[in-house]
Amino acid sequence: MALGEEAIVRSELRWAAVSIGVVSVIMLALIYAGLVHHINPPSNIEPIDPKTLHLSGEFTESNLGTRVSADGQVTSRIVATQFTFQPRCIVVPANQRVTLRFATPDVIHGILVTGTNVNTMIVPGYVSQVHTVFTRTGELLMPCHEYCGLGHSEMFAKLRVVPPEQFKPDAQGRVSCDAR
Amino acid sequence: MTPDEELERAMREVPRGALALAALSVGVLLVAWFLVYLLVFLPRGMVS
Repeated sequence: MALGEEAIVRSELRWAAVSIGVVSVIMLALIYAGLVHHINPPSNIEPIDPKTLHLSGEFTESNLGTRVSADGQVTSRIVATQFTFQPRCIVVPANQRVTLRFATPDVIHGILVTGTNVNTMIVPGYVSQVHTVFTRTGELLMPCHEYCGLGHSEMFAKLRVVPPEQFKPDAQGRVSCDAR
Repeated sequence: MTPDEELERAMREVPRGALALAALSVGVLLVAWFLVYLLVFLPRGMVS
């Protein structure tokens, strides 16, 4: 005899339980990653005027790139614009907490750093901020991953991760690719 | 065998096969998700 209505309802209920179980296990895995490994989506909400970000404030040309503050915090400031990053090469130390800050004066861009969990949108009017620790040294590619116009495919930067002993800030606390 | 009996015979086996296929698909998907989670996502380290 074919499955009766009762048996079909029973198997559907079992499937509902399996679905809830799968979603619960995945949610628990994500909560574990967030709490134990500190892997969380970047969620900085910080407005900035895209019309004047190059004229005053932290995203002026002279302030871009990597800088080490007096308390040892490493911050890289990068402007994403059609169709380049300014600067196109950034130096950061390995095994040390680094803050990447992005802003754009034109359209929506996005970045990821290959081989890492760094991945964020860059939206006009807001500062995108990502904290991370790079564990592998070498040059990592940082392409724009949000279609931003005809030159989108040419828009990428390089992130040079150097061993801590080779990361030497100058008197102003700045570190650039040219200095090496 | 009448068409009704033929349908009855087919329906006796079909749900089991469909359930086995669905279970296998969900199982493979879950294993693949955890492989990426454990071998790619976690080793790439902290980000916030």
